[in-house]
Amino acid sequence: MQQPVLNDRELVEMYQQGNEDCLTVLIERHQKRIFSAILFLVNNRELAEDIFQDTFVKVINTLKKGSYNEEGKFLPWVLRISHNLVIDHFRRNQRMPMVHDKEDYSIIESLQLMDDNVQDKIVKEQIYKEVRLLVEELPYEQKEVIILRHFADMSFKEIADATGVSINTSLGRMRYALINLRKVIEKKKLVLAA
Amino acid sequence: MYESSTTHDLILYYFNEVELADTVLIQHEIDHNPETEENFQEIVQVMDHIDNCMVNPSASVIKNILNYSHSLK
Repeated sequence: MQQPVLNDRELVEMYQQGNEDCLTVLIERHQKRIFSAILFLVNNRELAEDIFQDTFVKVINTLKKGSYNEEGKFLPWVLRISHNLVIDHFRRNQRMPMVHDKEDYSIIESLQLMDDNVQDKIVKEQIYKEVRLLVEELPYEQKEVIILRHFADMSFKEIADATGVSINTSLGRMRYALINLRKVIEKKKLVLAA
Repeated sequence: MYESSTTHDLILYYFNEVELADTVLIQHEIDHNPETEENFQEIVQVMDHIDNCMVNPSASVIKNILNYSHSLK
């Protein structure tokens, strides 16, 4: 008989009761979304991995202390932690992220091309080109609103409160992000066809 | 590509942030106005594209996290 799939809330509760395997399941379930959200913001693989790791250290500490109270909203909670860590990083360095030189951009390493078979390499190389085009051309505020709304599932009201702007400004940023991403996708078609 | 006011409505609709009555109106507009339908499909395609561009962190980072958790037992 097939085992029922545990939801995030159940996994969190079991983890807090000492079942370490539940953390593995939670990470496997959400790692791609969380890591990609961080990577889109910081545009650097090593930094994204550091922030991903720091995020889960905070998550683990909070869960082990029993102070987690975001019932049923594990992913948005984790993404908010990671977003705050990204902001902290750029505050410490007193600058917001800029577009990196192509040689500095190391996302291709995160795809671990050397470990894959030929077919996987081709697929990942294609994804790499697409991600690179996305992250290089969007202003930070536009990436931020996409990540908070699409990845973290925050409402535009919550995003407005979190980022200190009006709902209309958040919507406007999303609108411009969509316009810019549309351009990027069109450009990508040209690049990939070349 | 987009007209500002309707795009905001479509964005809110895409993310399920409109009231039920407005949902019906917007869906009707999408179903019966080709330009609105095209604008909405562009939003859907862009968001789908983002979903297709997601990548995993390295296995070593996951291992570090799990080791940290185990160390606190």
